[in-house]
Amino acid sequence: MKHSKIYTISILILALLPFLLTNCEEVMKDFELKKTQAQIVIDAQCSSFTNTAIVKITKTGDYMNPGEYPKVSDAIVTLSFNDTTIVLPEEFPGEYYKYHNFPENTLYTISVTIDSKVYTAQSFMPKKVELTNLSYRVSEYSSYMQTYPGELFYVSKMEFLDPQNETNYYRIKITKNDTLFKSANDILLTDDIYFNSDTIEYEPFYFFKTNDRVTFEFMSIDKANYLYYTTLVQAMTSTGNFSVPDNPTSNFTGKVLGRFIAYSSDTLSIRISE
Amino acid sequence: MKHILLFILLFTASISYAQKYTISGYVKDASTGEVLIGASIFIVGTNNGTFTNYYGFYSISLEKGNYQVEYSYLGYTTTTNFVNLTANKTQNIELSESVEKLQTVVVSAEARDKNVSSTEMGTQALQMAEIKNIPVLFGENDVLKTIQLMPGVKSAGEGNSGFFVRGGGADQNLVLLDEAPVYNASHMLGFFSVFNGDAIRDVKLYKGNMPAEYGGRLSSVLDIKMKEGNMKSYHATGGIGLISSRLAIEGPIIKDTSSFIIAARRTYADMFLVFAKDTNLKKTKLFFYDLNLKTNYTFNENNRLFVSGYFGRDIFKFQEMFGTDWGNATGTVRWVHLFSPKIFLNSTFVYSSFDNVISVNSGVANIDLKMGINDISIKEDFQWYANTKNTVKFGFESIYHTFNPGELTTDMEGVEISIDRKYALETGLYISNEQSLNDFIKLKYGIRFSTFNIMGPGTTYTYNDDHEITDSAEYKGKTFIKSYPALEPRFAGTFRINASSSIKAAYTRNNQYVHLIQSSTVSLPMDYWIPSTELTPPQICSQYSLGYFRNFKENIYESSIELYYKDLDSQIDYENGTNVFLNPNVESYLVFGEGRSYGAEFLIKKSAGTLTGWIGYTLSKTEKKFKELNNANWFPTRYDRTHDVSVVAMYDVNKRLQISATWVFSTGDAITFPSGSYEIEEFTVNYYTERNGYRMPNYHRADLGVTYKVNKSERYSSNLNLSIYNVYNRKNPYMIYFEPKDEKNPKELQAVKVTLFPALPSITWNFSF
Repeated sequence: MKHSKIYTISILILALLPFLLTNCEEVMKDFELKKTQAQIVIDAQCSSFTNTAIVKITKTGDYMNPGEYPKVSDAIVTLSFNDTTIVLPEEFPGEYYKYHNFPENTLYTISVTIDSKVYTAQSFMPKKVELTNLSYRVSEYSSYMQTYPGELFYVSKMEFLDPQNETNYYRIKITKNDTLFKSANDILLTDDIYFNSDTIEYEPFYFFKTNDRVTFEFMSIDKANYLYYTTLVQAMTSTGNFSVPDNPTSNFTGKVLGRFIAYSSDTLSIRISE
Repeated sequence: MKHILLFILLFTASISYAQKYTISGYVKDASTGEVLIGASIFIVGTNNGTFTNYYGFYSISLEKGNYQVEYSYLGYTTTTNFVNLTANKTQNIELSESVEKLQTVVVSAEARDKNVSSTEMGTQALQMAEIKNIPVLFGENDVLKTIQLMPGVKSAGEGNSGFFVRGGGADQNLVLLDEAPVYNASHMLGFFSVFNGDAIRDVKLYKGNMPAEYGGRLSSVLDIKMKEGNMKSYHATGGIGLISSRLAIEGPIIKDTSSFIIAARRTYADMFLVFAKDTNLKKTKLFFYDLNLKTNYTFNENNRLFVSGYFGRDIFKFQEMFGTDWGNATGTVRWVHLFSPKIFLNSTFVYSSFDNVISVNSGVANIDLKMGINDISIKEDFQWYANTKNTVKFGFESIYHTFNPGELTTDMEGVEISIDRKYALETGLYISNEQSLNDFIKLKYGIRFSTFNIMGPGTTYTYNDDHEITDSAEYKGKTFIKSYPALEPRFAGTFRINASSSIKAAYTRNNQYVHLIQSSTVSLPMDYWIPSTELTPPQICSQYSLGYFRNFKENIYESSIELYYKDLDSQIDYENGTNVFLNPNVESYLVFGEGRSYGAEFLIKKSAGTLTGWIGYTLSKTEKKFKELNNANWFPTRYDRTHDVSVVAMYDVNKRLQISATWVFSTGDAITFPSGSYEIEEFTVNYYTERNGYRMPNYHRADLGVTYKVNKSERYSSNLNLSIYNVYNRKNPYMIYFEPKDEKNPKELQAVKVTLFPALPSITWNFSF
């Protein structure tokens, strides 16, 4: 719905003013954004699927020149769970890694010390929820049929059994031929408040062609990260014109951007044939 | 308690018992038989005078004697009657429209000074005739867009009919159509208001100093009255425009006793879509229609009955994929009864509903999401013309609300989601008195006792900080779950310096118990209303205002300076990341904060002569503060436009040709833009530092209108109206977005503005016979 909203607005405006289809766009030459002090960003992940903990520490950069984010080195990064504490060494500048067998159903605590300031966060790694099936069918979606007559488009459907008596939060990642769909609108999230403990089928609006290899990664995440991703999508998609955007809600203590996620996941792949 | 005591003291002191007689009656339009609201009745040679009330009724008490009574109304010929008052007297007056519009100046000087003499401040009254002369987008006369040209009132954006009064929110305006609340006053993304100019007679806006008979909204009351229908003969009026057409028929059912009006309107913008190249657009539907109906019956001098209704729908359908269908329906039954020449009673029964349905075809299932609110209410308003010095109003209002915050149905088996409906009873009990202490001081004081009761059936929940339900309580039907009683004092006073100037002061306190939950500021009908509950306290506003009013040149020029300060409590916003749709726990995500709004409004208005119009300027500031937002710092609201100017001019070139022009200027909206970016996973994320910390570029625009009367005879007249929106093609940004300067090099961004309307001419042919 979120994605379709901006689209809907523009369609409405277009439909309202068919004789003005050239609604005007113009580059604003003298437009400037405020310069602000760079802020520390911690992107910390820990997965039972990859058995890896990865922490990337950077700083914010100029909005008008994206892609240049200074790396933060010499941080002390430790990860604790149950009675274990491990240290993540800096393998590349600003990137701290450790391979380890991370148990599910466990609370993880991360601690990052930068210039004697300590930032901590906790994340609960839920037990993996398995995908029970992945299938596909020819899409009857009319718009695509009209735009590309004669070509067949497929949609893919995943199924899983939502566990009883608990609230679950999920994120789904979709990959086509080894390329991850990775725009803000590809952050597919759901909780189970509407369908607790049931077999759930999900057929997202992604279209594939014959011979495509489709992979669904089904991540089980905790509530704080569900909120983080929800607010992340808003921060990425909001233009500020029709709503008031804000920074994503972090689970770190201290004034820092980013978040710490501990997650489990399951994947299924399928090749589409005629 | 102090307020009540003061009130009783003032009130009892004011009633005197001299032997007096009353002249009372209705003032009507001679050609249509419709009552005139706010017509002036003046006793020549004295300081006594009054105005007709909302129902066209007046009553004035005088000692025995001979009097010269002057009746006047803007645009009508003044009538003078000689009265030998020896007993109570009923005098119904019919005023004729001035034949020569150019000479409407002939209006008695004393009678036209309402601006200076009345206790009203922060009030704007408009007649439909005035509104029809102002150029607007698509040539559609619009009540709400005209209101936006008044100081203190701001538009919701380019071409939008949404309005904000003295820093208040869109949901803080009480919009009444024949006393029925209209919950969503706009059509088609806000480009049109729901009010069809052919069906509207009078418009009055209270910018905060609302009298005690109104309540329930913090920021304003917009009181719109429908035409009653011509009592003398049949007429049709209508217009054919580029994107809409309209037709109204009115006439007597029984001459001088009963009449009716039916007005209908339909847009057909989507018909042009047939020509669109894109097949998706071809199948898009987008239109609205609305219908106004009113009829009345005069039983006798003392009893009149009115029945009126409004029905309108907006339909939007994008292929088979997405559609919305929304609209308002209102109905009013009103009985006006005179107990005596001094006691007037208006009894009203009102129904109002707003609902919207969003339909999505996901390819797998058809999903319908329905949201809405409906009200049933009764109202009794007494008006007691106690004596020449005192006019007392008292009465009560009781509204039963039903809230539907969301119901999702699908054609898939077993998939249904519905958020519990909520029920509430809102009541208001009021009394007020308008009192002339002497020739210099006039006071209006009153109090409204409002209560809001959340009623069963229903379940209430308590939440912890994680929005998890920790407790719940079940309530059966007809039980009171939670009550909010409140006293709302209202005070206004005028000190008359001399015949042409006065100083006024006012204080108003208001409570608001219904709140709009919005997805965004665009008027997409995805908004829904919720009541105050145990978790959601009422919004409260206290407003203080002070004004200086001065008329020049025998009241041809009116001018005023008004200062206001508003103190707002329990303002509503959401926590970051709140999903407002179909969220049964949405209340646990609401955050409550404070607000303050202050400003100065300047107005100069010329209302007679060949050149009429006004210049308005507002200097203002509106801020809010929430513990949970913007690091608990004050931030400006989106519509905090520091400077706001509007110039409106209408010029009668000759009997056939009229030119009108408007110019508006305002500081750009406060907006939130990123001040940096960073990387998380594979995503580039915006970094925000301040809420509404940026400004859109300043907005300004001129519109021009030319009306040419093609012909005019006894029976038939028509005119052509050409209007040009945004004459000098100012490219005001509707939105600003950022994109790479060069597709190949995404490392350098530039800001791009999108403008909605270039210089946009439109033509409308209007007729009446």
